[in-house]
Amino acid sequence: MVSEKDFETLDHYVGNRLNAHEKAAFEQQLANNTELQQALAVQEQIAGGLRKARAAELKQMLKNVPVSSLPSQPSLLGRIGLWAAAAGVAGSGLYFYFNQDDTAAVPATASTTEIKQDVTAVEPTPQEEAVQVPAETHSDALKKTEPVAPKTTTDKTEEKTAERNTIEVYDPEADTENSNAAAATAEESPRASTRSTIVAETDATNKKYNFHYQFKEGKLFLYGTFEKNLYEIMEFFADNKRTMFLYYKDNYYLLNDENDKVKSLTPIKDPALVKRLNASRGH
Amino acid sequence: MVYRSNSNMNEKEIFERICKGDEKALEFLYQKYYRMMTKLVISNSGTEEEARDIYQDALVVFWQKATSGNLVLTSKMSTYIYSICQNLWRKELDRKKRLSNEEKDGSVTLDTDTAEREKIIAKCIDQLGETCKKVLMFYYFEEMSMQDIADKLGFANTDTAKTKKYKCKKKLDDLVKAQYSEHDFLD
Repeated sequence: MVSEKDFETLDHYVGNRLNAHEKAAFEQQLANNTELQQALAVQEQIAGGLRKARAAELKQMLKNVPVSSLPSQPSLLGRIGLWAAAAGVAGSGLYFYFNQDDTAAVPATASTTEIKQDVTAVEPTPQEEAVQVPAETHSDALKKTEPVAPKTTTDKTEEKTAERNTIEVYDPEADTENSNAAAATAEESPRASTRSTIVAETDATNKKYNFHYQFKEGKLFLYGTFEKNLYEIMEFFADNKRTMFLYYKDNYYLLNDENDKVKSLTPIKDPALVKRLNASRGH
Repeated sequence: MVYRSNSNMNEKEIFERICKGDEKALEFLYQKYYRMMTKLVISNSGTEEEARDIYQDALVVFWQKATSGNLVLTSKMSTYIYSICQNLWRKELDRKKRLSNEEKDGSVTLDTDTAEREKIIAKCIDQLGETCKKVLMFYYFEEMSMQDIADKLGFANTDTAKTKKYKCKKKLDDLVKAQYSEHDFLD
Protein backbone atom coordinates (compact mmCIF):
# COMPACT_ATOMS: atom_id res chain seq x y z
CA MET A 1 0.00 0.00 0.00
CA VAL A 2 1.39 3.36 -1.06
CA SER A 3 1.36 5.83 1.80
CA GLU A 4 -0.43 9.17 1.58
CA LYS A 5 2.90 10.98 1.69
CA ASP A 6 4.44 8.85 -1.05
CA PHE A 7 1.37 9.32 -3.16
CA GLU A 8 1.68 13.08 -2.80
CA THR A 9 5.33 12.96 -3.86
CA LEU A 10 4.32 10.69 -6.72
CA ASP A 11 1.77 13.26 -7.84
CA HIS A 12 4.37 16.01 -7.71
CA TYR A 13 6.72 13.81 -9.71
CA VAL A 14 4.12 13.20 -12.40
CA GLY A 15 3.17 16.89 -12.36
CA ASN A 16 6.82 17.84 -12.83
CA ARG A 17 6.94 19.80 -9.58
CA LEU A 18 10.02 18.27 -7.98
CA ASN A 19 13.43 19.81 -8.11
CA ALA A 20 16.39 17.76 -9.32
CA HIS A 21 17.34 16.61 -5.83
CA GLU A 22 13.80 15.56 -4.84
CA LYS A 23 13.39 13.86 -8.17
CA ALA A 24 16.54 11.80 -7.77
CA ALA A 25 15.52 10.78 -4.24
CA PHE A 26 12.09 9.75 -5.43
CA GLU A 27 13.48 7.74 -8.32
CA GLN A 28 15.74 5.90 -5.91
CA GLN A 29 12.76 5.07 -3.73
CA LEU A 30 10.85 4.01 -6.81
CA ALA A 31 13.52 1.53 -7.87
CA ASN A 32 12.93 -0.58 -4.77
CA ASN A 33 9.17 -0.37 -4.54
CA THR A 34 7.02 -2.28 -7.03
CA GLU A 35 3.78 -0.96 -5.59
CA LEU A 36 4.98 2.55 -6.10
CA GLN A 37 5.99 1.66 -9.65
CA GLN A 38 2.51 0.38 -10.38
CA ALA A 39 0.93 3.48 -8.89
CA LEU A 40 3.27 5.61 -10.97
CA ALA A 41 2.24 3.81 -14.16
CA VAL A 42 -1.43 4.56 -13.49
CA GLN A 43 -0.75 8.16 -12.52
CA GLU A 44 1.30 8.73 -15.64
CA GLN A 45 -1.51 7.37 -17.75
CA ILE A 46 -3.97 9.72 -16.04
CA ALA A 47 -1.72 12.75 -16.37
CA GLY A 48 -1.05 11.76 -19.97
CA GLY A 49 -4.78 11.61 -20.61
CA LEU A 50 -5.26 15.07 -19.12
CA ARG A 51 -2.45 16.48 -21.24
CA LYS A 52 -3.86 14.89 -24.32
CA ALA A 53 -7.31 16.26 -23.58
CA ARG A 54 -5.95 19.77 -23.05
CA ALA A 55 -3.88 19.60 -26.23
CA ALA A 56 -6.99 18.53 -28.14
CA GLU A 57 -8.94 21.40 -26.59
CA LEU A 58 -6.30 23.95 -27.63
CA LYS A 59 -6.13 22.46 -31.09
CA GLN A 60 -9.87 22.73 -31.45
CA MET A 61 -9.65 26.35 -30.38
CA LEU A 62 -7.09 27.01 -33.12
CA LYS A 63 -9.23 25.20 -35.66
CA ASN A 64 -11.95 27.75 -35.02
CA VAL A 65 -9.66 30.71 -35.64
CA PRO A 66 -10.45 32.22 -39.05
CA VAL A 67 -7.55 32.20 -41.45
CA SER A 68 -7.46 33.06 -45.09
CA SER A 69 -7.45 29.76 -46.90
CA LEU A 70 -6.53 31.22 -50.25
CA PRO A 71 -3.69 29.23 -51.78
CA SER A 72 -0.37 30.87 -52.45
CA GLN A 73 0.42 31.64 -56.04
CA PRO A 74 3.91 30.72 -57.12
CA SER A 75 3.87 33.37 -59.82
CA LEU A 76 3.25 35.98 -57.19
CA LEU A 77 6.00 34.68 -54.96
CA GLY A 78 8.45 35.48 -57.66
CA ARG A 79 7.46 39.09 -57.37
CA ILE A 80 8.39 39.50 -53.73
CA GLY A 81 11.53 41.47 -54.40
CA LEU A 82 9.72 43.61 -56.89
CA TRP A 83 6.95 44.24 -54.39
CA ALA A 84 9.38 45.40 -51.76
CA ALA A 85 11.22 47.70 -54.13
CA ALA A 86 8.17 48.96 -55.96
CA ALA A 87 6.34 49.52 -52.72
CA GLY A 88 9.04 51.88 -51.63
CA VAL A 89 8.70 53.89 -54.80
CA ALA A 90 4.91 53.80 -54.75
CA GLY A 91 4.90 54.51 -51.04
CA SER A 92 6.77 57.71 -51.60
CA GLY A 93 4.48 58.60 -54.47
CA LEU A 94 1.40 57.87 -52.44
CA TYR A 95 2.81 59.71 -49.50
CA PHE A 96 3.10 62.83 -51.61
CA TYR A 97 -0.26 62.16 -53.21
CA PHE A 98 -2.08 61.98 -49.89
CA ASN A 99 -0.10 64.73 -48.28
CA GLN A 100 -0.07 67.34 -50.97
CA ASP A 101 -0.84 70.09 -48.48
CA ASP A 102 2.00 69.03 -46.31
CA THR A 103 4.81 68.61 -48.76
CA ALA A 104 6.98 71.11 -46.94
CA ALA A 105 7.33 68.55 -44.12
CA VAL A 106 9.25 66.24 -46.42
CA PRO A 107 12.23 67.63 -48.26
CA ALA A 108 11.42 67.83 -51.94
CA THR A 109 14.82 66.41 -52.70
CA ALA A 110 14.36 63.31 -50.59
CA SER A 111 15.72 60.44 -52.58
CA THR A 112 13.77 57.33 -53.33
CA THR A 113 16.19 55.28 -51.31
CA GLU A 114 15.56 57.27 -48.20
CA ILE A 115 11.84 57.06 -48.54
CA LYS A 116 12.08 53.35 -49.21
CA GLN A 117 13.45 52.76 -45.76
CA ASP A 118 10.58 54.52 -44.11
CA VAL A 119 7.58 53.72 -46.19
CA THR A 120 6.99 50.17 -47.17
CA ALA A 121 3.92 48.43 -48.35
CA VAL A 122 3.23 45.19 -46.64
CA GLU A 123 0.91 42.30 -47.22
CA PRO A 124 0.49 43.21 -50.84
CA THR A 125 -2.09 40.56 -51.31
CA PRO A 126 -3.96 38.14 -49.09
CA GLN A 127 -2.81 35.35 -51.34
CA GLU A 128 0.73 36.08 -50.35
CA GLU A 129 2.29 35.00 -47.12
CA ALA A 130 2.52 37.41 -44.26
CA VAL A 131 6.15 36.50 -44.11
CA GLN A 132 7.83 35.37 -47.24
CA VAL A 133 10.24 32.48 -47.21
CA PRO A 134 11.77 31.10 -50.36
CA ALA A 135 10.40 27.62 -50.98
CA GLU A 136 13.76 26.09 -51.72
CA THR A 137 15.15 27.34 -48.42
CA HIS A 138 12.40 25.46 -46.61
CA SER A 139 13.03 22.41 -48.59
CA ASP A 140 16.77 22.51 -48.05
CA ALA A 141 16.41 23.17 -44.38
CA LEU A 142 14.08 20.25 -44.05
CA LYS A 143 16.32 17.89 -45.89
CA LYS A 144 19.87 18.88 -45.15
CA THR A 145 20.60 21.14 -42.24
CA GLU A 146 22.07 19.80 -39.07
CA PRO A 147 19.64 20.52 -36.26
CA VAL A 148 20.60 22.50 -33.19
CA ALA A 149 18.12 22.93 -30.39
CA PRO A 150 17.13 26.31 -29.02
CA LYS A 151 17.83 26.37 -25.33
CA THR A 152 15.03 24.91 -23.25
CA THR A 153 15.08 24.07 -19.60
CA THR A 154 12.69 21.19 -19.73
CA ASP A 155 13.28 17.83 -18.18
CA LYS A 156 9.96 16.32 -19.00
CA THR A 157 9.70 12.65 -19.61
CA GLU A 158 6.45 12.42 -21.49
CA GLU A 159 6.17 12.14 -25.22
CA LYS A 160 5.50 15.77 -26.08
CA THR A 161 9.07 16.18 -27.18
CA ALA A 162 8.67 16.70 -30.86
CA GLU A 163 11.33 19.39 -30.88
CA ARG A 164 13.79 17.59 -28.59
CA ASN A 165 17.37 18.12 -29.66
CA THR A 166 16.60 18.29 -33.31
CA ILE A 167 15.37 21.82 -33.60
CA GLU A 168 17.23 23.74 -36.16
CA VAL A 169 18.44 27.22 -35.69
CA TYR A 170 17.15 28.65 -38.87
CA ASP A 171 15.65 32.06 -39.19
CA PRO A 172 12.90 31.87 -41.76
CA GLU A 173 12.50 35.61 -41.60
CA ALA A 174 16.12 36.62 -41.75
CA ASP A 175 16.20 37.63 -45.39
CA THR A 176 12.83 39.02 -46.13
CA GLU A 177 10.84 39.52 -42.99
CA ASN A 178 11.06 42.67 -40.96
CA SER A 179 7.78 42.50 -39.14
CA ASN A 180 9.29 42.13 -35.71
CA ALA A 181 11.73 44.93 -36.15
CA ALA A 182 8.99 47.04 -37.66
CA ALA A 183 6.60 46.19 -34.86
CA ALA A 184 9.20 46.91 -32.25
CA THR A 185 9.98 50.28 -33.74
CA ALA A 186 6.47 51.22 -34.74
CA GLU A 187 6.25 53.78 -32.01
CA GLU A 188 9.58 55.45 -32.66
CA SER A 189 9.22 55.54 -36.41
CA PRO A 190 5.81 56.90 -37.30
CA ARG A 191 6.03 55.81 -40.88
CA ALA A 192 7.41 52.37 -40.25
CA SER A 193 5.07 49.57 -41.04
CA THR A 194 4.16 46.26 -39.52
CA ARG A 195 3.15 43.21 -41.41
CA SER A 196 -0.49 43.15 -40.57
CA THR A 197 -2.53 40.20 -41.59
CA ILE A 198 -5.72 41.36 -43.18
CA VAL A 199 -8.04 38.44 -43.28
CA ALA A 200 -10.30 38.78 -46.28
CA GLU A 201 -13.43 36.80 -46.84
CA THR A 202 -15.70 36.82 -49.82
CA ASP A 203 -19.45 36.46 -49.65
CA ALA A 204 -21.26 35.82 -52.91
CA THR A 205 -24.56 35.00 -51.25
CA ASN A 206 -25.60 38.44 -50.11
CA LYS A 207 -28.47 39.60 -52.31
CA LYS A 208 -28.37 43.20 -51.17
CA TYR A 209 -24.68 43.78 -51.70
CA ASN A 210 -23.17 42.59 -54.94
CA PHE A 211 -19.96 44.62 -55.18
CA HIS A 212 -19.34 46.01 -51.74
CA TYR A 213 -16.97 45.71 -48.85
CA GLN A 214 -17.02 45.99 -45.10
CA PHE A 215 -14.49 45.98 -42.28
CA LYS A 216 -15.93 44.04 -39.42
CA GLU A 217 -14.25 42.50 -36.37
CA GLY A 218 -10.84 43.13 -37.87
CA LYS A 219 -11.67 41.33 -41.07
CA LEU A 220 -12.37 42.51 -44.56
CA PHE A 221 -15.53 41.14 -46.13
CA LEU A 222 -15.92 41.40 -49.87
CA TYR A 223 -19.50 41.03 -51.04
CA GLY A 224 -20.05 39.89 -54.59
CA THR A 225 -18.85 37.21 -56.93
CA PHE A 226 -15.14 37.73 -56.53
CA GLU A 227 -13.09 35.18 -58.35
CA LYS A 228 -10.65 33.50 -56.04
CA ASN A 229 -7.03 34.57 -56.36
CA LEU A 230 -7.86 37.44 -58.63
CA TYR A 231 -8.04 40.11 -56.00
CA GLU A 232 -5.25 41.63 -54.02
CA ILE A 233 -5.21 43.87 -50.99
CA MET A 234 -2.55 46.55 -50.92
CA GLU A 235 -1.55 48.38 -47.80
CA PHE A 236 0.51 51.52 -47.56
CA PHE A 237 1.73 53.13 -44.41
CA ALA A 238 2.60 56.78 -44.10
CA ASP A 239 2.59 59.08 -41.07
CA ASN A 240 0.85 56.51 -38.88
CA LYS A 241 -1.88 56.20 -41.46
CA ARG A 242 -2.72 53.06 -43.26
CA THR A 243 -4.20 53.30 -46.71
CA MET A 244 -5.60 50.22 -48.33
CA PHE A 245 -6.59 49.42 -51.85
CA LEU A 246 -8.28 46.49 -53.46
CA TYR A 247 -7.03 45.44 -56.84
CA TYR A 248 -9.51 43.41 -58.80
CA LYS A 249 -9.73 42.78 -62.52
CA ASP A 250 -7.58 45.70 -63.64
CA ASN A 251 -9.21 48.21 -61.34
CA TYR A 252 -8.19 49.69 -58.02
CA TYR A 253 -10.63 50.51 -55.24
CA LEU A 254 -9.94 52.54 -52.14
CA LEU A 255 -10.81 50.64 -48.94
CA ASN A 256 -11.92 52.80 -46.08
CA ASP A 257 -11.77 51.06 -42.71
CA GLU A 258 -12.97 53.95 -40.58
CA ASN A 259 -16.15 52.17 -39.55
CA ASP A 260 -17.87 48.85 -40.07
CA LYS A 261 -20.47 50.10 -42.56
CA VAL A 262 -20.93 48.27 -45.83
CA LYS A 263 -19.60 50.43 -48.62
CA SER A 264 -19.80 50.09 -52.37
CA LEU A 265 -16.64 49.57 -54.37
CA THR A 266 -15.96 52.36 -56.79
CA PRO A 267 -13.02 52.13 -59.18
CA ILE A 268 -10.32 54.77 -58.86
CA LYS A 269 -10.30 56.95 -61.98
CA ASP A 270 -7.44 59.30 -61.17
CA PRO A 271 -4.84 58.30 -63.80
CA ALA A 272 -1.92 59.53 -61.67
CA LEU A 273 -2.92 57.38 -58.72
CA VAL A 274 -3.68 54.39 -60.92
CA LYS A 275 -0.24 54.78 -62.47
CA ARG A 276 1.41 54.79 -59.06
CA LEU A 277 -0.56 51.81 -57.90
CA ASN A 278 0.35 49.97 -61.07
CA ALA A 279 3.97 50.77 -60.40
CA SER A 280 3.73 49.34 -56.92
CA ARG A 281 2.27 46.13 -58.30
CA GLY A 282 5.23 45.82 -60.64
CA HIS A 283 3.36 46.65 -63.83
CA MET B 1 -7.49 56.24 -40.27
CA VAL B 2 -8.04 54.68 -36.92
CA TYR B 3 -7.93 51.00 -37.72
CA ARG B 4 -5.28 49.26 -35.72
CA SER B 5 -4.97 45.54 -35.93
CA ASN B 6 -3.34 43.19 -33.48
CA SER B 7 -0.36 43.16 -35.77
CA ASN B 8 0.92 46.07 -33.76
CA MET B 9 1.62 43.66 -30.90
CA ASN B 10 5.31 42.99 -30.88
CA GLU B 11 7.10 39.66 -30.38
CA LYS B 12 7.93 40.31 -26.77
CA GLU B 13 4.39 41.24 -25.89
CA ILE B 14 2.93 38.20 -27.63
CA PHE B 15 5.40 35.89 -25.92
CA GLU B 16 4.76 37.38 -22.50
CA ARG B 17 1.04 37.06 -22.96
CA ILE B 18 1.39 33.46 -24.06
CA CYS B 19 3.57 32.67 -21.05
CA LYS B 20 0.76 34.00 -18.88
CA GLY B 21 -1.69 31.66 -20.57
CA ASP B 22 -3.49 34.23 -22.71
CA GLU B 23 -5.29 32.17 -25.32
CA LYS B 24 -6.13 35.24 -27.40
CA ALA B 25 -2.41 35.83 -27.93
CA LEU B 26 -2.08 32.24 -29.15
CA GLU B 27 -4.92 32.77 -31.61
CA PHE B 28 -3.21 35.91 -32.85
CA LEU B 29 0.08 34.09 -33.26
CA TYR B 30 -1.70 31.36 -35.17
CA GLN B 31 -3.02 33.86 -37.68
CA LYS B 32 0.23 35.79 -37.87
CA TYR B 33 2.37 32.89 -39.03
CA TYR B 34 -0.26 30.74 -40.68
CA ARG B 35 0.99 31.23 -44.22
CA MET B 36 4.64 30.83 -43.40
CA MET B 37 4.26 27.67 -41.36
CA THR B 38 1.75 25.90 -43.55
CA LYS B 39 3.85 26.60 -46.60
CA LEU B 40 6.67 24.59 -45.09
CA VAL B 41 4.53 21.45 -45.19
CA ILE B 42 2.79 22.22 -48.46
CA SER B 43 6.09 22.74 -50.25
CA ASN B 44 7.36 19.46 -48.82
CA SER B 45 4.71 17.16 -50.28
CA GLY B 46 1.99 17.82 -47.70
CA THR B 47 -1.60 18.85 -48.20
CA GLU B 48 -3.09 22.03 -46.80
CA GLU B 49 -5.03 19.91 -44.30
CA GLU B 50 -1.81 18.24 -43.11
CA ALA B 51 -0.07 21.61 -43.01
CA ARG B 52 -2.77 23.08 -40.80
CA ASP B 53 -2.67 20.04 -38.56
CA ILE B 54 1.11 20.19 -38.13
CA TYR B 55 1.05 23.92 -37.46
CA GLN B 56 -1.66 23.55 -34.85
CA ASP B 57 0.24 20.73 -33.14
CA ALA B 58 3.41 22.82 -33.20
CA LEU B 59 1.66 25.75 -31.57
CA VAL B 60 0.26 23.49 -28.87
CA VAL B 61 3.78 22.23 -28.14
CA PHE B 62 5.02 25.82 -28.09
CA TRP B 63 2.18 26.89 -25.80
CA GLN B 64 2.89 24.07 -23.36
CA LYS B 65 6.57 24.94 -23.17
CA ALA B 66 5.89 28.63 -22.77
CA THR B 67 3.12 28.41 -20.19
CA SER B 68 4.97 25.88 -18.07
CA GLY B 69 8.02 28.15 -17.91
CA ASN B 70 10.15 25.54 -19.61
CA LEU B 71 11.15 27.70 -22.49
CA VAL B 72 13.92 30.24 -22.77
CA LEU B 73 13.71 31.78 -26.20
CA THR B 74 17.08 32.34 -27.75
CA SER B 75 15.72 32.96 -31.21
CA LYS B 76 12.64 34.56 -32.71
CA MET B 77 9.38 32.88 -31.87
CA SER B 78 8.76 32.22 -35.55
CA THR B 79 12.13 30.47 -35.86
CA TYR B 80 11.34 28.28 -32.89
CA ILE B 81 7.85 27.41 -34.07
CA TYR B 82 9.15 26.81 -37.56
CA SER B 83 11.63 24.30 -36.15
CA ILE B 84 8.89 22.50 -34.29
CA CYS B 85 6.85 22.33 -37.50
CA GLN B 86 9.85 20.93 -39.36
CA ASN B 87 10.41 18.23 -36.79
CA LEU B 88 6.76 17.31 -36.52
CA TRP B 89 6.46 17.09 -40.27
CA ARG B 90 9.63 15.03 -40.51
CA LYS B 91 8.20 12.66 -37.91
CA GLU B 92 4.91 12.47 -39.76
CA LEU B 93 6.70 11.63 -43.01
CA ASP B 94 8.65 8.91 -41.20
CA ARG B 95 5.45 7.58 -39.71
CA LYS B 96 3.79 7.46 -43.11
CA LYS B 97 6.77 5.70 -44.61
CA ARG B 98 6.86 3.18 -41.77
CA LEU B 99 3.15 2.58 -42.05
CA SER B 100 3.38 1.98 -45.75
CA ASN B 101 6.27 -0.48 -45.23
CA GLU B 102 4.38 -2.28 -42.50
CA GLU B 103 1.35 -2.55 -44.74
CA LYS B 104 3.54 -4.06 -47.43
CA ASP B 105 5.00 -6.54 -44.94
CA GLY B 106 1.62 -7.20 -43.36
CA SER B 107 3.18 -6.50 -39.99
CA VAL B 108 0.87 -3.80 -38.63
CA THR B 109 0.76 -4.09 -34.86
CA LEU B 110 -1.81 -2.41 -32.69
CA ASP B 111 -1.34 -1.93 -28.99
CA THR B 112 -4.95 -2.47 -28.06
CA ASP B 113 -4.21 -2.51 -24.34
CA THR B 114 -2.76 1.00 -24.34
CA ALA B 115 -5.50 2.25 -26.63
CA GLU B 116 -8.13 0.81 -24.31
CA ARG B 117 -6.58 2.46 -21.26
CA GLU B 118 -6.45 5.80 -23.07
CA LYS B 119 -10.09 5.44 -24.00
CA ILE B 120 -11.05 4.74 -20.41
CA ILE B 121 -9.17 7.76 -19.12
CA ALA B 122 -10.67 10.05 -21.76
CA LYS B 123 -14.12 8.82 -20.78
CA CYS B 124 -13.42 9.44 -17.10
CA ILE B 125 -12.13 12.96 -17.81
CA ASP B 126 -15.34 13.65 -19.69
CA GLN B 127 -17.31 12.75 -16.60
CA LEU B 128 -15.69 15.55 -14.60
CA GLY B 129 -17.26 18.98 -14.30
CA GLU B 130 -15.85 21.83 -16.38
CA THR B 131 -14.03 23.48 -13.48
CA CYS B 132 -12.47 20.19 -12.40
CA LYS B 133 -11.25 19.56 -15.94
CA LYS B 134 -9.74 23.04 -16.13
CA VAL B 135 -8.00 22.79 -12.77
CA LEU B 136 -6.42 19.46 -13.64
CA MET B 137 -5.47 20.45 -17.19
CA PHE B 138 -3.88 23.69 -16.00
CA TYR B 139 -1.99 21.74 -13.35
CA TYR B 140 -0.70 18.91 -15.52
CA PHE B 141 -0.47 20.48 -18.96
CA GLU B 142 0.32 24.15 -18.44
CA GLU B 143 1.98 23.27 -15.11
CA MET B 144 0.52 26.42 -13.64
CA SER B 145 1.17 27.34 -10.05
CA MET B 146 -1.74 27.17 -7.62
CA GLN B 147 -1.73 30.97 -7.55
CA ASP B 148 -2.11 31.15 -11.34
CA ILE B 149 -4.85 28.53 -11.29
CA ALA B 150 -6.68 30.51 -8.60
CA ASP B 151 -6.33 33.72 -10.62
CA LYS B 152 -7.37 32.13 -13.86
CA LEU B 153 -10.41 30.37 -12.47
CA GLY B 154 -11.43 33.07 -10.02
CA PHE B 155 -10.81 31.10 -6.81
CA ALA B 156 -10.48 33.08 -3.58
CA ASN B 157 -6.89 31.97 -2.92
CA THR B 158 -4.31 29.26 -3.45
CA ASP B 159 -5.75 27.12 -0.67
CA THR B 160 -9.05 26.96 -2.51
CA ALA B 161 -7.20 26.01 -5.70
CA LYS B 162 -5.24 23.31 -3.83
CA THR B 163 -8.36 21.82 -2.28
CA LYS B 164 -10.17 21.89 -5.59
CA LYS B 165 -7.28 20.23 -7.34
CA TYR B 166 -7.03 17.55 -4.67
CA LYS B 167 -10.75 16.75 -4.80
CA CYS B 168 -10.90 16.73 -8.58
CA LYS B 169 -7.87 14.50 -8.86
CA LYS B 170 -9.28 12.12 -6.26
CA LYS B 171 -12.51 11.91 -8.18
CA LEU B 172 -10.68 11.19 -11.43
CA ASP B 173 -8.44 8.59 -9.78
CA ASP B 174 -11.48 6.83 -8.35
CA LEU B 175 -13.28 6.83 -11.69
CA VAL B 176 -10.23 5.45 -13.47
CA LYS B 177 -9.53 2.81 -10.83
CA ALA B 178 -13.12 1.59 -10.97
CA GLN B 179 -12.94 1.28 -14.75
CA TYR B 180 -9.47 -0.31 -14.65
CA SER B 181 -10.54 -3.00 -12.23
CA GLU B 182 -13.56 -3.76 -14.41
CA HIS B 183 -11.18 -4.30 -17.30
CA ASP B 184 -8.59 -6.13 -15.20
CA PHE B 185 -6.03 -3.43 -15.74
CA LEU B 186 -5.09 -3.24 -12.10
CA ASP B 187 -2.66 -5.99 -11.35
